[in-house]
Order: sequence, then C-alpha cells, then structure tokens
Amino acid sequence: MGSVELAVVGAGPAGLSAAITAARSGLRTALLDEYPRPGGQYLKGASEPDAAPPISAAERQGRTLLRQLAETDLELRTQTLVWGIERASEGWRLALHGPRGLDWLEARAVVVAAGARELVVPFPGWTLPGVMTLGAAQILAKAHGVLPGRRVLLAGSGPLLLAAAAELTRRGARVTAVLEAVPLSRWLRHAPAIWGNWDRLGEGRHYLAELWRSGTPYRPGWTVAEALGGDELEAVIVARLDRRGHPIPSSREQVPADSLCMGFGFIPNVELTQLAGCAHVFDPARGGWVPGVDERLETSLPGLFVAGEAAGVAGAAAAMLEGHIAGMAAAYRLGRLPEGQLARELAARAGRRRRLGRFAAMLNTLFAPAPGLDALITDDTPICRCEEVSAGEVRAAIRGGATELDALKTWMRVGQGACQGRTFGPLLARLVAVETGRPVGQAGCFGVRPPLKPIPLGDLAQEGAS
Amino acid sequence: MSDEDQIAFHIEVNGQLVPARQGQTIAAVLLSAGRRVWRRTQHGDPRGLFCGMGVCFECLVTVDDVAGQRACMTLAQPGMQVHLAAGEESGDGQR
Amino acid sequence: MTSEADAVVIGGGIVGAACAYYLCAAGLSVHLVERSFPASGTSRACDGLILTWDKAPGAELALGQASAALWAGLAETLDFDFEYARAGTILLAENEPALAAGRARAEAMQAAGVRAQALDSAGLRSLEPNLAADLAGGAFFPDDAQVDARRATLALLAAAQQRGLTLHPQAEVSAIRRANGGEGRVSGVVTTAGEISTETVVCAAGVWSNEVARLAGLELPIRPRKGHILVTARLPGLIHHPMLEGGYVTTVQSAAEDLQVALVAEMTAGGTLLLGSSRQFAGFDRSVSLAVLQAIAARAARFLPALARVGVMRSYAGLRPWSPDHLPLIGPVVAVPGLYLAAGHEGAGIGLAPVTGQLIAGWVAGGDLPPVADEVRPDRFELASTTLRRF
Repeated sequence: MGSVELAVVGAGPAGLSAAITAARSGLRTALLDEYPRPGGQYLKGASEPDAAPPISAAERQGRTLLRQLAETDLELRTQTLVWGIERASEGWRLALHGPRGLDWLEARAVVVAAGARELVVPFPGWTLPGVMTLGAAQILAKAHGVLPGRRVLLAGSGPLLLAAAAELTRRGARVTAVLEAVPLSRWLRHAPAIWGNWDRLGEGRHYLAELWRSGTPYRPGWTVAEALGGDELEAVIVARLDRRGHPIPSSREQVPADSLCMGFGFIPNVELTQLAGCAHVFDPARGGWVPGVDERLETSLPGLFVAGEAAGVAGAAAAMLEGHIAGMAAAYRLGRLPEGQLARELAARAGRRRRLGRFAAMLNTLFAPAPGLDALITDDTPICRCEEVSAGEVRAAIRGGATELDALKTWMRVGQGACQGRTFGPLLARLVAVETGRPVGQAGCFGVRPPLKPIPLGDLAQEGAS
Repeated sequence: MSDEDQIAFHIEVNGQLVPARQGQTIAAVLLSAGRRVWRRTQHGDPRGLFCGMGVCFECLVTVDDVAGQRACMTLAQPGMQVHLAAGEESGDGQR
Repeated sequence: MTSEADAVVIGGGIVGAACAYYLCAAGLSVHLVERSFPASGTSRACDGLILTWDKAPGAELALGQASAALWAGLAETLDFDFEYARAGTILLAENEPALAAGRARAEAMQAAGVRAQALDSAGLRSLEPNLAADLAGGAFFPDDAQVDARRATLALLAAAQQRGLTLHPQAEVSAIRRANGGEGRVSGVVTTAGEISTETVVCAAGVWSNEVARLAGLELPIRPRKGHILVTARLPGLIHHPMLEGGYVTTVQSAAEDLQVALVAEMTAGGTLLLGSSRQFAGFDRSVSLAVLQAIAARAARFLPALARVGVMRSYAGLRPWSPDHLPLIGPVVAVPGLYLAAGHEGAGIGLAPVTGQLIAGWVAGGDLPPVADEVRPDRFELASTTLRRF
C-alpha cells in the first residue's frame, strides 16, 4: 500500500492549488482525479490549441496552475476514483480504483477538492437524448470541439448559462435563444454585493457582448417547460415566468430545437466528506449541504480538509484561494509550516475571501431555482432517472409519511441506482419541503456508503497492493 | 472542428467505423458522428449524454466487452469497440 | 396530548409491524411508536430470505416452519406487493467435507419434515449453470422463500393501518408508566409525540430493545451483531435460487467474537444481487467496513466467476439483534405485568416476524399458544436490572 503525507482528491482549480502549495512546502503529496486529465471542469480544454484566450484573472491563474503542475514534485494519478475512506492509525486510508484495479493509499492528511455538479430542475421530457446540462455542452465544445446540436437552446440560470452560451456561439453553434429563469428585476436588488468583484462582472460583460455580437436572443424571466421528441429531442416548449417563478400557461410557445442545454447552478460534491463522517451543515447560500470547516478549511475531523466547490459553491477564484489555504493548513498540521506564517497568509487573504464569499452567496441566492419552477415537475415526470421513479410516486410516498430522503429510499427505489441520488437529491428535498411545509434542510440527505461510484466486483475482491 | 486533416484514428461503434481524435472521449466521438441515443432503460426509454462529467451514469456504453462504462469519462483509443444497446439498430441482431 | 390504546408497540421494523398487524387482526386498538421512520433500522439493512435449514431442530425450526407458512398466506392476503417468491434455496458445498455436512443437514431437515434434496456437482450445475465448475455439490430446499424486507414491513403496517393501527413515526418513548407507585401493571407510555395510556406494551425495538427495556428497569441479553451486504448492478437470469455456502450455518450458530464471512446470494425482483454475509460484534457501529466488503466480494467471485466484471453499486450494514441461546425473546415479562418482548431474532427477523406477531397476539388477546411459546419466553433469562429501580 502506498503512503503519502497529503492526498488531494480532485485536480480542479482547488485541488491543483492545494497540491502545488503543499508540495512546495515539502509535503510528499499525491493528487488524484477520476478523469483522465487534470484541470477539473473549469480548465477542461484549457490546453487545446483552439482554446479561447483567458478573459479573467481566474482563468489565467488556472492555466498557470496547470503549467506549474508539470514542474512540481508530486504524484499525479488520473483515472483514479476514490471510492472509500477510512481512518488509519496515522491519518486516513483511501480506497482507490484505477486502470489497474483496486489500490489503497494512506495519507496523514487529506484535502477533498471534489468540486460540484450541476442542478437541473426536472420537467416533462428532460430525459430525452439531446437534453443535457450546460456543463456537458461546454465541455464538449471546449475540450473536444464538438457542438451539441444544430439548433441549440440554452436555459436555466446563473453564470454558467452565460459562459456556456458564449462558448457555443464563439464556436459557431446556432443558438436560437438563451433563457435565463431569473427576471431582471431580481438582479437589480442584489447589486450591492457586486462591489469589489469587478472581475466577475467583467466576465459577465464579456459573455453578454459575445451574445450581442452573434445576435443571440437573451431572455430573462423565461424557461423551458417541456422537451418533445420521439427518441431524440425535436422541440421544446418555452414559457415566461411570473414573479414567483411560476410558468405562465398562456405564454407557452413551441420552438424547434435538437439540443437543449440546461442548468440551475451547482451542488457541492460532499459524498466523500460525508462518508468520512465529518459534520455537515445545510447552507443554501453555499449551495446546500456543505462540510463545516474552520478558517483553515479543516473539517470537524483532524487532518481532513476541504477546498473549492466541495466546501461551498463560490467560483474558481475562491476555489484556488481555498486550495492554497488548505495546502498551507495541511503543511502546518504536518509540521512543515510555522504557525506564524499560516496566520499571516490567512490574514493577508481574509479580505479577499470575504468579498468572494459575499459575491458567491449573492449569486447562489439570486440564481437559486425559484419555488414556482416546481410546477414544471408534473406527476409523471421521472425524478429518479436511473430507477425511473416519477414525481407523482414520490409525492404520494411523502404524503404517506416518508418525509426524509432515506425514508423515501426505503419506501421505493429512488436513489438506489447508479447515480445514488446525485442527480436529483436536492430536488427530492424540495419536494419534501413543499409537501410538508418544513424547511428543505430537514429532509436530510441520502446516507452515503462505499463504493462512492460502482466498481467491478472482481476488482473489489482483489488483494489490495500498490 | 472535425476536418479530415484532424482525424487521428477510428473506433468501432456497433460494428461501424467512426472517426475519432486523440484526446476525445467516447461521448464526444459519438456526438460528432451524430449518434445520440446510447442505451434504453428498463422501460425502453432512450437515453444518452446528460451531465457530461461522470456523475449521472446515463451515458453507459459497452467498451471492449466491458458493460456499464461512462462514455463521457472514457477516452477513445484506436481500435476500441463500443457497443450501444440502443435497441434500434438494424442488421446487428440487437433489440 | 394523551390518547388511549389497548396495546402500544414500540418499534416500526418488521417485527413491530407484524405484532401490530396480528394485534389489530385480533380486534385490539393499537398504537405503534417508531422513533425514526418505518423500517429505518435493521429491516432496511438486511436480505429478505425466509430459511428453514439454518435453524436448529426443535424450537428454532418449529418457529421457522410456522412462520414460513404464515408468510405464504400473507403473500396472498396483503394488498401491498412485497415481492414474495418461493423458488427454494440452495446450500453450496465447496469441497468434500462441506458436501458431507450438507448431506447430513439435508437428512436432518427431512427427518424434521422439511423437504430437502442432496445435490452432487452435476445436480448443482443443472440448477445453477453459472456457478463455478469445481464445487463438490450441495443441497436444495425447495420450500424456502424470499421477500423484499422493506416492502414486507410496509405491507404489514399498511394492512394494520387498514385495521385501525395508529402510527406515530418520529416519536421516541421516554418513559413507561406503571400503576401502584411504579410497582404494578404497565399503565402507559410517554413519547415525544404525547402520552398514550395503555395496559399493554410490546417492545419490538430490535437491537435497541435494551434502551426501551431499561425504562422498565430491565437489562436484556440482546447484543448487536453487525452484517454487511453488497448490491450489484442488474443481472437478470444469473442465478435462479438464493444460495448460501455451507459455512453459513456455522457463522449463524457461532458466538465467536471475530469476523465471520460466508456467502449469501439473493436476487431481488429487480434483478440486482444482494451479496452477504458477515457477522461480527462491533457495538452499534453501522459504518461499512471496506475490508468486509472485500471479503464478501472474494467469496462471491469464488462461487460466481461471472461476477468479476459486474459493478458493485452500493453497500449497507445492519445490526442483527443477537440472543445468547439463538432463540428470540417473545412473550410476557413476569416482573413487569403488561410488558411483552418481541426481540432478539438475530438474522431471522424477517423470516420469524409473522409467527412472532401471532404469538404476541396470542399472549395479549388470549388464545391457544403452541408449545414452542414456552421455549421463547423472555423470563428464561435473568432480566431484572441490578441497579435501583427508578420511578
């Protein structure tokens, strides 16, 4: 079994930052990522010859990290899934699965930089091939030069909507419209939080300019109510939303489309920290359930740190800053950094962290899917895509007394499929909240158990050895 | 983005040769070739790419006889044999 | 807020649900108090097998046979489908000594009135073509059955509710009231959702029964015995019967402190495989041990080589309520009139739930009790707590 001083799980902006900082402090560091290449979602395609020039300091910093990775003395292991975690005598034991099967890694400290995944509010037809997340479309374009379809509609809300739209139009996709669910009036109310975050505003302006240049209609206060097609997407029904986010029936319009890219923000990937057993809190301003951390990003379990979107949705700049802090905190914990230096670095970044945090909280609140959108989840819409359980069945179970996620998983097959409830967990909590009238956080989360993602039984049975 | 000049190799998809480029995932290769229905659920519903980042497990295809592989997480390699259980092929006996 | 009931059942797992069902069927007004949600404990962390051949001839087997017959009837009469199937189960013998032991067990079962058939290697492969080719043989027990344990629990509860059961989920019992200054008969329970006055309390709280029993000044000999299950991707047709390796019986009957692993494979109605089993005393810890998952996976791969490339989708661990003589504690507690126990079923809770409910209804509502009732009475153990009784 291999052993290192620090294992960093996830090689996106936060993980890269943490691993490079830690390695430079002298820690023997391993950087693990499930994907074949480092960079996470944010930096996919950054190394491609046709990559767009960086438009923000965050993008520039991210690309710099990728270059620094090659020059840093650490162990990079891609195509490596972390499927389990246990305490070891001196820290942690990670259960890994890679191209050569099962493996184990002991680490005295761990930084979880597992990122976030996209939230999609279900609607009739959302499972049709041709309907995908904004991120899926963006990755196809940036990393592979592939367009998602010939007549593309984008919908949802949040910064990724604009970024994906700009990327697709830049590459020549025919984007028929960009539908932003949040109406302009809501934007203006949140203006004060923009102060000090000009970089992000600049990104937004850049994306809007790209849309204007290409003549792509941008419609705030609209969304997609239905996706239509036989085996593949052929058209969508769009609808305007009222002030509470309810679709207005008389505004429904059918629009041809063979590609629909949608996303309503992000959900932190907290499965690994939940499996490790540290305390979590429900904080909608950070994207939902997040691990509780101190200012050094250490969780309630000593030696377990979190950084980036997995600690709360706050964007790439915050992720890289947090990665740096977590790397230093781990170095301090393992005796490679004097406490005074850690304190100075924390103090130097405190102001920026606060500004970034405020802006992120504003974005997460502004762009959170309005309650009215739940009206789109008709009773026959599948909520659990893997197990094909409909929203109607779920609502009946909630009314029958299953008022927490694990109770629903006991009552029916929701969350027992391959995605283990990742795709729709927060939606389920919303449905529970709507039916019970209680706060969303009370619905809880699905219990997490290994393997975090499926692994072949024969590999699991292997005698583990490096 | 898929000029003849940039094609690096081919993979097999349900027995047919499909062009692929170095560094592309199977998902990107399939979409480039206009294939979007990759499997059917227990109830026969068509499914394809959804999240693109390995979380949703909708994009499952068989690669070199190993079932249940995520097309969005697997890089295409020369000579790879991909099987889509999409149930609509003619001529290869699939349902 | 106070309500009244003829009987209060504490615990909403399968045993509590069965007690509620049979008590309601006997015409009593029943309230069930469950501190989380129904089936939230061991009943959602187990397999669903209804076995006879792992039980010792005598009281244990008598209970098993009676309960198996009741399950078959419930499958017909309950509205809520709980995926009951009766294909029989197979004992797998890896080698000659295991084969000899398997044959002996088949004969003992036959002598006790349980249908059994010894299998040689060819016979085994003809029943289950996907088994490894080098197994010595086994035995087939055609009358064994399986259910979906969670759905079965909910089915019993739903049927009980149709017969008047009042269900209190998310409610925890904090006190058991007694008449005559705390010395007399049970007079009610205090819960976080209000008080219920009653003269009959049935403790069906599984491994947590000790917490409830202490409210009445009792100490139960029930200990949690942890088990693990892996769940695979769907593989319809891979196996046709639930299968258990011969060593399973040893692990069940053993009281060894260390980890015991023996293959159990059950295919659900949906085509996923539930793979177990493990037994260890690990307190109340329900976290899944990676080493145990590996051990179960290794046994599964040994017997079913086709599983090598199959995905393990998830896992869970559950706590069996172990009792020192491997018989459950069912019946009245003499020291606390009105209190009944229905707990300590170890790994047979699913199978024995109906007969437990029927016995409890017999005790409470008055009725003919079979001879076995005497052998599972709680008072065969010393139950009184040595600490001072609290009011």
